Amino acid sequence: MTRRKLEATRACVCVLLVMALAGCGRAPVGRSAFVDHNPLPPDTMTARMDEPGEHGGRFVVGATSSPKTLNALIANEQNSNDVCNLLYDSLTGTDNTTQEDIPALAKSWKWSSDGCTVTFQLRRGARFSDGHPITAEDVKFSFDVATDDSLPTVGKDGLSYVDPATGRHAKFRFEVLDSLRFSVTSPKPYAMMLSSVGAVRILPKHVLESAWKSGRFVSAYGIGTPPAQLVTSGAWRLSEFVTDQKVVLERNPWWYGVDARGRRLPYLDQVVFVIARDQNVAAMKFHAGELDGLDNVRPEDYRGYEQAREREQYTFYDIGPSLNTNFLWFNLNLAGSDTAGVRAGQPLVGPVKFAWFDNPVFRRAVSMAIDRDALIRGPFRGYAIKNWQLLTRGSRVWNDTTVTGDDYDPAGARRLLAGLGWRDRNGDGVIEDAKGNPVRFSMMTNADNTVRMDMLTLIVDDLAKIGIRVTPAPLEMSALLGHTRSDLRYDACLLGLGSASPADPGMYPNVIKSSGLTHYWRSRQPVPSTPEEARMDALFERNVYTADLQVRHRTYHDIAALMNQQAWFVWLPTQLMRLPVRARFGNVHPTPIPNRILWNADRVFVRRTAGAN
Amino acid sequence: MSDPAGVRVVTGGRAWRALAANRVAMAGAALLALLYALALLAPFLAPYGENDIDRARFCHPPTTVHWRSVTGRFGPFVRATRVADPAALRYVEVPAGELPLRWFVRGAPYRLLGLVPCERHLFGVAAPGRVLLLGADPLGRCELTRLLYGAQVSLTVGLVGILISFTLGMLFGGIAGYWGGIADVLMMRGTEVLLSVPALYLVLALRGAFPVDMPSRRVYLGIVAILALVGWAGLARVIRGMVLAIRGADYVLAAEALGMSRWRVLVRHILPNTLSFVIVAATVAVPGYILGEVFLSFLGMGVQEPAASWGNMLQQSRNLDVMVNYPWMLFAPAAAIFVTVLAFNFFGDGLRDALDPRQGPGGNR
Repeated sequence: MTRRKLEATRACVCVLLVMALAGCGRAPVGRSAFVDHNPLPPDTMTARMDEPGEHGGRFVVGATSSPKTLNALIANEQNSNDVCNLLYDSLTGTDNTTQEDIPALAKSWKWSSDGCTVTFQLRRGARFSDGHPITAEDVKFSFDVATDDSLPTVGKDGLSYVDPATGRHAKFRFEVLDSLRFSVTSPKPYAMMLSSVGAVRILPKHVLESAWKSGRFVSAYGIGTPPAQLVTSGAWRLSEFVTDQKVVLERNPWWYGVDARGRRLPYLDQVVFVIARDQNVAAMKFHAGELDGLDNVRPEDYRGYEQAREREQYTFYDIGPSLNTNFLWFNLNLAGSDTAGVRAGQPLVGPVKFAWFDNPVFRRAVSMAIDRDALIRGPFRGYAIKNWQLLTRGSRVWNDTTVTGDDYDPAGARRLLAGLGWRDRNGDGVIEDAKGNPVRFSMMTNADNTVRMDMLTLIVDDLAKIGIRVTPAPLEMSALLGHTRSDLRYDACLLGLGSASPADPGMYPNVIKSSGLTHYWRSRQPVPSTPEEARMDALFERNVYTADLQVRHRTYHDIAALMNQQAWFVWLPTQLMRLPVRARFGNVHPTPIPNRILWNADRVFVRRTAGAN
Repeated sequence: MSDPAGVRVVTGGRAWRALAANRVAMAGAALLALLYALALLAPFLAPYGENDIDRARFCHPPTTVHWRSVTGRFGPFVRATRVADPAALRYVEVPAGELPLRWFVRGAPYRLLGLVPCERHLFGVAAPGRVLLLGADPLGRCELTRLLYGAQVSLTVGLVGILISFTLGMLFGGIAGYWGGIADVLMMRGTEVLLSVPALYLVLALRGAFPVDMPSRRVYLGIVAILALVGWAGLARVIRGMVLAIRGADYVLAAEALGMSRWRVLVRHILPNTLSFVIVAATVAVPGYILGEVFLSFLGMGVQEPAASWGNMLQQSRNLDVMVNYPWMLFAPAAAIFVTVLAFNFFGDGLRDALDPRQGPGGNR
């Protein structure tokens, strides 16, 4: 196709889009004169940035769905997290570019000599968005709520110690030393201390204590809360919430962050999350100028973004390997109780399939049958790399390049299966196991993800070549999660994991430990069911309960190697991420860690020259 | 020709002549015959197998058929291609790589008409070259091949669908209209309940109830059944209305007076008189089923990969990238659906004009 024809087609499509979206309109980027009415606190935080910016303007970012809650301690999915990360601060934060812990509400911290206690010094003069001072009592309240066993709070696992010998849980000790000093004590030196503390967002005790005491905490700070009553501790507060349309955040006038010239942050007047469920709609809205950035773009759309870059004045950032992983696994779950046709303790996939799936040789053969280069060339359009571990090359600190799994080797896969006595006895193209059962099963994936759907189709073809017949089962995401998390009725599944923040193996207890919920292949084991599972648990224990970074790296390596040796997860390629952000914004540094674009939203500003059109 | 109930009977001969005189309808009929023939012979006409994935030709554009080679030889041939830009999946022809089109080549094995094992395909080129007259999809599968296989699904979904829904509709409408009384009340209220259910949600809910590992052929039949089960209620009401009118006709009264069983009267004398309407309604209903399958597949709930249907081919091409960079993936199924639906509507319109009892000779409504 010639370039002109291409342009014409594109123009055509764009006209259609503009017509389709005409009703939504584009809001002007106004620059109101910002006047700081509140005195700066004694302990300000000077944010690191490329260049000091100007106050005013707004940033509109696309989100895939409406947040389910604005309660940071209950939020457990990406869209809620993305908003809550901006609304609430923690004692410590993470610099996404260096992937290091940095001070936030705590201006400093000190470790005790035994390495078990860390004492945080809070900022003097830090205030909630209603002007109420933030004290150690608020911090204690937030930690108590976060570790309340009766609440579905996230991150409580990171703040309790499970004795591997007895299985007993012991909560860490949280102490208020004075109004600005707070300490956390673990029974053993704990590598994840700062990250786990950073996962607890600070909520106002004076607003939420009564809700917690009366058992209404889970519904508190829901999406129906009037913006004025949603008191926040972060750089932003809620301005407007329209379910399934948009979430508008505005500057918290009391926040403690300042720029190098001592002017209060954030620069932007507003951050707006616009809900665009469908990625095609998000792309159209971006091209129509309604969105300033998109933090989730499919590789198949990269070419379109590359082509319109100059005309639509945006930068198409290349942020390297994603921290999100892709993999497939086989269902080894046992029935917890007697359910439809399966007795308690029996495999949910039935004895025949379980005998295949439970065999690491079979799982490795499957891994060897998959042509990953073709997956990268096709579904990923070349924008992916092979990945063999939980922490992809997107993690500077943790990715271990010495870890590899069983890559494409169809002849080797056939040899492995022949070694098991599996061969095609009746000439129908499908191999039979040693007892004569034809090897067929189904594999689920979420149908709305075109990359995964295309990967599944190619993998079905790959496995057919070594005589394994797979029926693809594309499902809607909620139905799929129902199978993988609740009823556990499925054969195999192709899915991925989002990135933890910070990207650290210690943030994956749910995946690594045999008791974890996302230990998908056999989740929530009461006790480790095999020696290998017990070894995983022990390695994880050693990985997090130490202060020695070398030990941590060695144990992480062992975990990754064990997972590959067992092929519990058959790893698939990881996407190379690219994100478009309008060029008129300054201090933008997209990273693979969420929030990919707005993690430093307090520093982002609108350039005056570029915006004057 | 008029009977007391106001229902006129159209003689077969005159209807046929009216139909034959309608050029648009006949063109539609011819097109349909051609399409069904193509679908029936799909495995033979298609150069490749339905799921022949070619990992070297993801998103390959349609190959141009050349006639005059550099050496001056005349005859259809295509040129081999190579990847020019792996990221953009752009391909260019290799001038020297001439691959003459061959007829009746050996290829993927199949069963002709589902019976005769066969491995000849109408045309093709020597491997590892490929002829992709309509290009390839994102997984390197031949679009023409998938269009032909998809036709088997998309063209039969309507026929099977009307078979089910019209059987149900005629049965329910006939019994309710002829028996009357409590049967009528119960059956008609039942259909009204069915009509009041939002069809889209019913379809999606029924589709969601299929087991995850259902083979695609059975999924397809299930979808037809779902569409038909949702579609018969409206028809039943119309049939009931017609039966109410017919049951007072002299010949019905005569048959009853002769002691014929009610069932026999219904099947022999009443329902046949609704046929002219039913045939027209059925023809016009077929496109609805075709579009229904397209719609379900478009939502990812219809016939699923790797099986081909026009709906899931369209679904594959519903993003901006395909529209702009690989438009052939959009045009092929869209054109096929468009032509088929149009042909059915032309033919259906022609049939109505020919069979419409209210239309006098040579006149229009």
